[in-house]
Amino acid sequence: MYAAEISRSNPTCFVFLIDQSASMQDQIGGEAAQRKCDVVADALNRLLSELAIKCAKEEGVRDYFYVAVIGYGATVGPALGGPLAARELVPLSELASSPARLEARTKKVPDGAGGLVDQEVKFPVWVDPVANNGTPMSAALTQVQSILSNWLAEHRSCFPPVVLNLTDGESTDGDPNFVGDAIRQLASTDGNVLLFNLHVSADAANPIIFPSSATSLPNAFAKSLFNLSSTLPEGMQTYARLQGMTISEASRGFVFNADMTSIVQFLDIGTRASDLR
Amino acid sequence: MPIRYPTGADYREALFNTRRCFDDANLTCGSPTLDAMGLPKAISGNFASVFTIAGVDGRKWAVKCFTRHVADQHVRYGRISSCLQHAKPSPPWAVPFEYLPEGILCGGQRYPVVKMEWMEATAFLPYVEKNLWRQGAIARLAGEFAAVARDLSQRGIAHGDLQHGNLLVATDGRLRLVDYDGMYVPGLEDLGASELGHPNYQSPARSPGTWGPELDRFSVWLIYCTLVALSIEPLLWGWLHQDGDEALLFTKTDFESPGQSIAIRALAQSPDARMRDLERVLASIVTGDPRRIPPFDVGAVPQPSDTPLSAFASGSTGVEGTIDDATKAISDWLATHEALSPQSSSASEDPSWVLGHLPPVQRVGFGPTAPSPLNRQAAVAVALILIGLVSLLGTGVLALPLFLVALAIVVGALLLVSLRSLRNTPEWVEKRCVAAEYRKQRSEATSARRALERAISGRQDVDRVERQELDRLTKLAKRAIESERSELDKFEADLARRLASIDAELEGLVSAEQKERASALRVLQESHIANSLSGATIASANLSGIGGSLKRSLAQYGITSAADFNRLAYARTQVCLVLRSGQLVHPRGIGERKAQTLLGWRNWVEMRARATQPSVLPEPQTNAIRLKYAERRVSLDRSTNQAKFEATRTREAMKRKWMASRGQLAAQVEAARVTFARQRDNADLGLIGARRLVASAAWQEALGKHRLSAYSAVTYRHFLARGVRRR
Repeated sequence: MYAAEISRSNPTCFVFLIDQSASMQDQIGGEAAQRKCDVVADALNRLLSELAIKCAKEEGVRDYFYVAVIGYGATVGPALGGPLAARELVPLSELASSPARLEARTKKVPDGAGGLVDQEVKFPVWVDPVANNGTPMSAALTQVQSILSNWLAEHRSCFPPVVLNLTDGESTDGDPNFVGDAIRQLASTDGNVLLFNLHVSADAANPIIFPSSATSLPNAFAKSLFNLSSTLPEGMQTYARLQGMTISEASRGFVFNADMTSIVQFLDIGTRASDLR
Repeated sequence: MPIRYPTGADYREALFNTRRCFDDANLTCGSPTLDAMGLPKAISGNFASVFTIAGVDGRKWAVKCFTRHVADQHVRYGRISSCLQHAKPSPPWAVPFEYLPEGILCGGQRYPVVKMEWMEATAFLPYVEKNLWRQGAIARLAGEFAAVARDLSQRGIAHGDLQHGNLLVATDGRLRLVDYDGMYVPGLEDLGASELGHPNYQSPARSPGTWGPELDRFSVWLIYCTLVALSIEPLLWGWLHQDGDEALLFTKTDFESPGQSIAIRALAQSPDARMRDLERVLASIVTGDPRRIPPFDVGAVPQPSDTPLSAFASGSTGVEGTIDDATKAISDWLATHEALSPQSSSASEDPSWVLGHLPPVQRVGFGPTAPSPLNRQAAVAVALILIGLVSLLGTGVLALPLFLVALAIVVGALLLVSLRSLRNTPEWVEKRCVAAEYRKQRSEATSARRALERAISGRQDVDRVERQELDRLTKLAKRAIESERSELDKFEADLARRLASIDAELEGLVSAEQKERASALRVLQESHIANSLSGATIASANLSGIGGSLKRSLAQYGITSAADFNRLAYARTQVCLVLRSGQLVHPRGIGERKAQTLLGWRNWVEMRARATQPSVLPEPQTNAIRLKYAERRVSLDRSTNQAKFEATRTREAMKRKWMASRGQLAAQVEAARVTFARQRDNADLGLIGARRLVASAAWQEALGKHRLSAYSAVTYRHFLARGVRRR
């Protein structure tokens, strides 16, 4: 299980679920004075760049992955901007070549001699931060369920699709666990669909990363998200350990009270489907 | 805490400023190759991203940036580098590289890079795909690969990750190996393996402990056998390799469970003994300890074949070969399998006797649960009706014709009812599905064949149009050369004529000068004689018989000197003097004797003058004439030189013109060559694709037909017969 080779003839897909509720305007916990929606959008854009580079070969980006980004807030639906607006699953090569825009950013980078210097970089942006209204998480998961059923009908033996849900609050349209269970029941011949959840915190509290039981979790909301999440498959566990994390065999793909770093880690580990060649 | 390495995107951001991120002289001034969006273009592997840097000197560099920490990487690369650099002779497959332990500054830290000069080459899979149907190409590639494998093993080196991504075919057709991250060289024994290699090219039993000079054995046997198999039967590519597969023909699942591998059985059940030999070799390496695999030995493997087995494999031009051949090749292979296969389909026998692709024909008949043509009630009703009818006929109530009509109605109803129940049997429904699928496969195969026909004729069109174009250009070139020659000939002839006329004029000058000198002399002499004659006056002459009265009489006629008359003439019998004007005069007192005396005197005066006349032209006059002619000669010489000079210039201009037009022609030829090469390549690619489609569609068609044959007993006749038997 979770060992299928990912290739152009046997690709897999990632679905990113982005909470776009009003509370995402609040600042994220920790040192950085940034809105949660900005941090999440940045981290996701960054991850999409990483995926594209990881799959870049001589002739261009290979379609090892198909990617969908679904936003939920005032509305529920595809959240990619620019030429890919309204598209659900997009092959990675197309995604890589059609960001909404290239943003010129000036980064302070260490100059290697103890100082900081400005460096102009171009940052591809696919997803823009949005924040208003409620948290219709169940509706969003329902949409994911239909996307993945269609995908699995055509990709019977793919590495199981991964759903990565980034939220900052409780669902406002009913218990997401019903549809969450249904999603985790979907399967290819290589295993069940993986549903991972991350909770972005406005507190500066310590993040709880990939817990293996619900007992240590602070509240019912956290426990509910824990129950919504799949266990990390062996490959991702190994990779997370390589990153220096404490992981047990029962660790779930779930992060509570995430700060900026743990968002990036969550996306990195959650999309580490299997070794690409 | 493990050392975190930058990601591909981190490196890409660093590369926005090569001056800052690199120290290396070649790289720091270079500029990265950009992708369509203007971002540094990466080519990524599992543990690294490679960027291309164009140096200011026009050289190109591949810079490999690692995204994962490898223990002892510095030591490894140092040993590998010194091993390859000091090897004598240097390994022909090696691409020189430099390991720069602090090569790149990224996020404030320095990380190692491997710097390699960029090499023009074709990646392995596209090369194989493109050359699959070219006569001898795959065999040559297999030979080249065997030579590389031998060289590695003789040096005690193992690449560690031999796979399509690390094999490049250089423009000279030689193989190059890249990516030395996992390489074993003598001296690295203690470090152990740093990676496991591509799973589609490694023994499933390879572990981190598998390390040493024998590391490549599995992949060498595998790649070589695969190439040999493809050289014998290129059709395998269409059957076993799908677009986008990260493998040649075999993948890790084939090695993990060879018993279930379609690919391995494809070899095992080939009618060709060489394929079966290849299967035996592969079967022997996929199981067990990879370290126990025997060293590579070309002799243990069938020879790669220059001529593919499939009858429709093309020759070097890629256009011979027809569709019928393709279909025939496939059906031949299938037929062999059919012949070898057990005719019964008892469940105990291994049913996959055709390449592992064809499931057994489980003959489908109407099962015991299938409805009978008539249900019980209907049967009873029909029987009752029949009995009724017969009894009505017997008792005479029903006339025979009416009875027959009723009988026909009953039989018709029976047929209708049984047809309806046949349609409801699951067997019939299945057969219709299978038949529909077969029809679809057949029509796909037909359209694939048509597409191949089009591709072949397209390819032939390219050749034909190319020939026409080459003919046209050749004619143009020939005509250009002819017109050059005739233009030059005409010019030289004109020039020669012009020079000859100048020469003739020069020669003419000599005689003209002499003539002019002679005539000037003559003029001088004539005037001397004329002067002498007019100077000799009759008055002063003492002539016998010519006295004063006659002299006066002569003077009356204007005859005063010897110049005034020149001969005697007679008018009737009277002697006359002929004046210079030709007039005859007869002065009074002159008789014949006196006239004779006068003429004698005049002739004497003339004779005396001739004796004293000048014999040469005086110097000044001679000089004047000479100067005049010298001038003419100089001007003619100048004309000659001018003509010759102009000729040189004209010739040069002509040559320039010709060179320009020849250059244009050459450019046209080159452009045509490039265009046609591209068209041919495209057409070849199309042809390969079309062949592959035909191969797989024909395969599917055969398969569908095969499946459909299972339903040969699912017919109306069988249905009825079974109904009758059951009853």
